[in-house]
Amino acid sequence: MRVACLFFSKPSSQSKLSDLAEACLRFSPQIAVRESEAIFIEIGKCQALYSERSFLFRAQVLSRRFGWDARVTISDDIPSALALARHAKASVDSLPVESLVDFADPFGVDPKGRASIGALVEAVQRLGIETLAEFKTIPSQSLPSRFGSLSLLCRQRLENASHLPWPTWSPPEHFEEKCELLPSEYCSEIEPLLFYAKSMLDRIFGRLRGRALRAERIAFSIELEKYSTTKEPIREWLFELITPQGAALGFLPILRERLNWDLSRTPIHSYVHTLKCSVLATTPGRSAQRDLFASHDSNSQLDQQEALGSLFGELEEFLGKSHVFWAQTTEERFPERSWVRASQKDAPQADLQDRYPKRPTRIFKNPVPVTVIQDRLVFKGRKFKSTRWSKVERLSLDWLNDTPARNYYRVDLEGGQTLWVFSDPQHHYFVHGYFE
Amino acid sequence: MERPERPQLAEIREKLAQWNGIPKREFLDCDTVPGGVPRGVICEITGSARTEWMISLLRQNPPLQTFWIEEQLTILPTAIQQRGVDLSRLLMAEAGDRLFQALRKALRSRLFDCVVLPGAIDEVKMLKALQLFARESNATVFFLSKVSIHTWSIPFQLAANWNSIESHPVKSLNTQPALFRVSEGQNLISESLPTYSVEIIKSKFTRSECP
Repeated sequence: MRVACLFFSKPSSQSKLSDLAEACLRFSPQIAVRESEAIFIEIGKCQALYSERSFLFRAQVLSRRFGWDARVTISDDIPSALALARHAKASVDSLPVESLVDFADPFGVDPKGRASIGALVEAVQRLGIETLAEFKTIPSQSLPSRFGSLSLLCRQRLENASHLPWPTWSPPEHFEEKCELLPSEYCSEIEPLLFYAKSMLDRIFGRLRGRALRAERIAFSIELEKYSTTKEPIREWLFELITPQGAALGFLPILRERLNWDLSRTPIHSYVHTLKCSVLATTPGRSAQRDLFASHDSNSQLDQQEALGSLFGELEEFLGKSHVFWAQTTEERFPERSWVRASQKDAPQADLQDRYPKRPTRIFKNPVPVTVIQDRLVFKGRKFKSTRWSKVERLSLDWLNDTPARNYYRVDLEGGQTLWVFSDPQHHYFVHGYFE
Repeated sequence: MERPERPQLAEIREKLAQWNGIPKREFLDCDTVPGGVPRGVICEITGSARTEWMISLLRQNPPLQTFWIEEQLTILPTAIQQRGVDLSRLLMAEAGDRLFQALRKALRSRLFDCVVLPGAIDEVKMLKALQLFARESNATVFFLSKVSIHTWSIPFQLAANWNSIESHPVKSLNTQPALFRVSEGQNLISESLPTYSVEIIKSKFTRSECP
């Protein structure tokens, strides 16, 4: 058994510690939290996935992302990991006798017991015993009669505490992060807003990653100083992501585009004092240990898919809805109905192989009227000589639909160009597209 | 004594790049361009069959991820699929007057191997920026222009033109009956499109393995 302890010298709130513990789920599913002080992670069974050295670096980076400087230690059991982190010592033997408190009550759930241990420590120190190495020299048979039963418990835990049961810890139910700003931070422009949003998003996506989830729907809001000129003190934006995102890097460009668009139309007239971000819907993401079972190809494919989703969202915010799309062909023959705009990359396509003649590559949104006089076409005020008219292709809808039937021809012009011309039942001719 | 043949400028460039540790330039396979189409540069395609040539290039390189952007969409995706291109590899955008910004975002994402624009960008500053983005992302930017522009930043220019077809007698269409024969449409499916010819106007690149 190998236990890592993330110890925070400055006491922090329980909810924030739980958030970090949730992000630590990426390392191991077995986690315990000591109230406002420490997080324990069982990493002994994950030795094949990462080394202890890399874990130390990653845990420190992660805790810094959440705004704390953690002291990280790894030991064979929970009490020794906690005591080593608290007293910043290299080995258990060099720990001071005060650390017996951590051996007796490593999860900080027994305040009465802690007081009794204080008396025990004082008694031991009066004998001139300063370190745990010295404490170990006292024969264990004499411990209960001299220092009480607690001393024997401490001794047993000092020798072997791996059997200690782990208390239950469950991660928070909601993914919500808040960032409060001081008035002196003067945050009223888009760049500082995004700067603060970035660290908040990093935390929230770190938590999602720990749970192997991706965000599908995100609400982002800002609260403004209530000046008399402020009409809307709370502004909120809702993001429905086409491709669920698993990292702040993918969501940030989408947020930037939306804020750019919205704040350029309705600027904010006072300073922002609170930023809030919450994930309203999630989808299962890839597992935290990506390289274990999946091949590199499939991992990079997933990464690419997520990056493509992020770009799609960014372009959609920038250009407008349905201005960026994947084309999905349909069973319809009419050119304007033969395809639709899809927001999914792998939308099912109709099989068009040998279904109907080749369509022109370019098409007019509105067909252009053309006058046909024998082998001449008068089109946009210019005359063209046709060299060949193809056979007719008739397109019509069912009787319920009142769209008139069209007769399409491929018309080759002198000079090599080919037009796609149709005539309606009244013998009016229109150019609908051209082969380019 | 026989003098050794002088090396071409492109060969010298390639050698210098090798010495400086710059990765070898990649090329897209194309049956009408011996040696292929270079990647990471701006290519200008002109002529009456330019879109047809572009689609045939995409068909010959199925793994390519392509971004097709136009100000007002005139391309017919059905036609692209009919010519054998997988539409799931083609992200399309109708950008209006924000074409360049959208293009820049797409190139910076480094997700695409090919970017296709309906016409050329005339402004030199934008062209330079685009050239840098293309090189960074190793994506080929295709301008489907009506007329070619002369600038140093476009190292590859090509013209694809329809071959003229023999003239057939055209019967009077104004005398056709109101109802048309439907069955004739079936024969059109097998009818192939006219052929086009390709002419390389400018190419600053050579592929060492090409003949």
